Amino acid sequence: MSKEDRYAHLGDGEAPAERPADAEADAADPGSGIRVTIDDGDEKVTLTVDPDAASVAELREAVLAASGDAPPAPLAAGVRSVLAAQRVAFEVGLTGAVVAMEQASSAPFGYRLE
Amino acid sequence: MTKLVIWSESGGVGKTTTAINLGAALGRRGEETLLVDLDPQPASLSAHAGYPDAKTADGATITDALLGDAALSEIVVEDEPFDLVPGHESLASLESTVRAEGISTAEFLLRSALDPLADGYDHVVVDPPATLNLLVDNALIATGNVLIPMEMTRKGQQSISGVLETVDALESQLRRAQPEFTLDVLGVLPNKVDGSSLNREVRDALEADAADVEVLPVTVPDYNVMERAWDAQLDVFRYAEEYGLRPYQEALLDAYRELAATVSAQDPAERRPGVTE
Repeated sequence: MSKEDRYAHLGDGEAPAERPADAEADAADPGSGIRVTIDDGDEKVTLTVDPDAASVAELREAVLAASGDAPPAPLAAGVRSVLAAQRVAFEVGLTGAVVAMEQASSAPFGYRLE
Repeated sequence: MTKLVIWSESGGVGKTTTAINLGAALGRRGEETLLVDLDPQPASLSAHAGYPDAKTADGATITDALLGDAALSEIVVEDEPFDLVPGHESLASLESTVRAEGISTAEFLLRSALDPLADGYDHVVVDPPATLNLLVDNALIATGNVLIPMEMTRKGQQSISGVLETVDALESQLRRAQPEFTLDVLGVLPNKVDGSSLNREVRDALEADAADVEVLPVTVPDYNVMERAWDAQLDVFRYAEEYGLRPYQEALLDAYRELAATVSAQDPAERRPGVTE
């Protein structure tokens, strides 16, 4: 193998600047977190939520609370603070819940009402 | 910050000796210097710097730092006149580990690991093994600047073309994805020079071919006191302080001081293009 061949793969794409551990953390691993899809009709994003940050029930409650549609205030507030830290905000539109994200190219948070 | 890898495809040309003594000379200029031992073999920079047991030590290692399981700052041994990231025998299995784990960023591990330390040092000097492998790739990409120690022999002369081919291939391929990437050659350091006619002939031949690579205006003479310094696990400056040098051996100190001045004067923004121009 020539040296050009040895390094040919380096030119195939942008080399990630992140470390492998970070990459692993960001990777969409269906088994390592809660899979969430955000779909407002125009854009669809699938995210993974760390189950240590919030459970499915907590996420559901947080969205409902943010919509003014429901309850457990303390729990919802706690989850909302996590969401804020992750630069995620909730809104509710006519077609259902919408999660609007700021700088969310690989945000680890989201929720889908189904 | 200046980053530099001391590398040649030939073994025994004085890579590690150059690294430690350049590091010592830079440190004695009052410039914060970090040496990185990227060689898994026992007889390497860590042993020369007085840390021979680091190669087999328990706890976090440079390999862990490369794999993202530890911060490189945890591994750094703070010392004078330079800090050291000790090598570890586990580096020998890095290539198989990244393959097994499917890490696609294998050539960029050192660059990522060094990033958090960038503000703390004026110079980072990396000492990889001679054999072209993943560790060398990491060192080349992380530093973007190569110093080639070379014995002024025909064998040494032939080895230069191998280094330049590697530099050229790596730079051209990586630039397809990262156009801003550069891999420069600081120059060839005439090492272990004995003043023979062959040494002069080789040097003349290299200088005549200066379009490819510059021969630095520094000559490191071949004095066996360097081996005694190695045995004492000291850089040549410390060795001189503890054991003394003969007057003619002082030329070694001058050579490394000159080399340090050359490296210190390197401004990454103003570096002239390397061999790929």
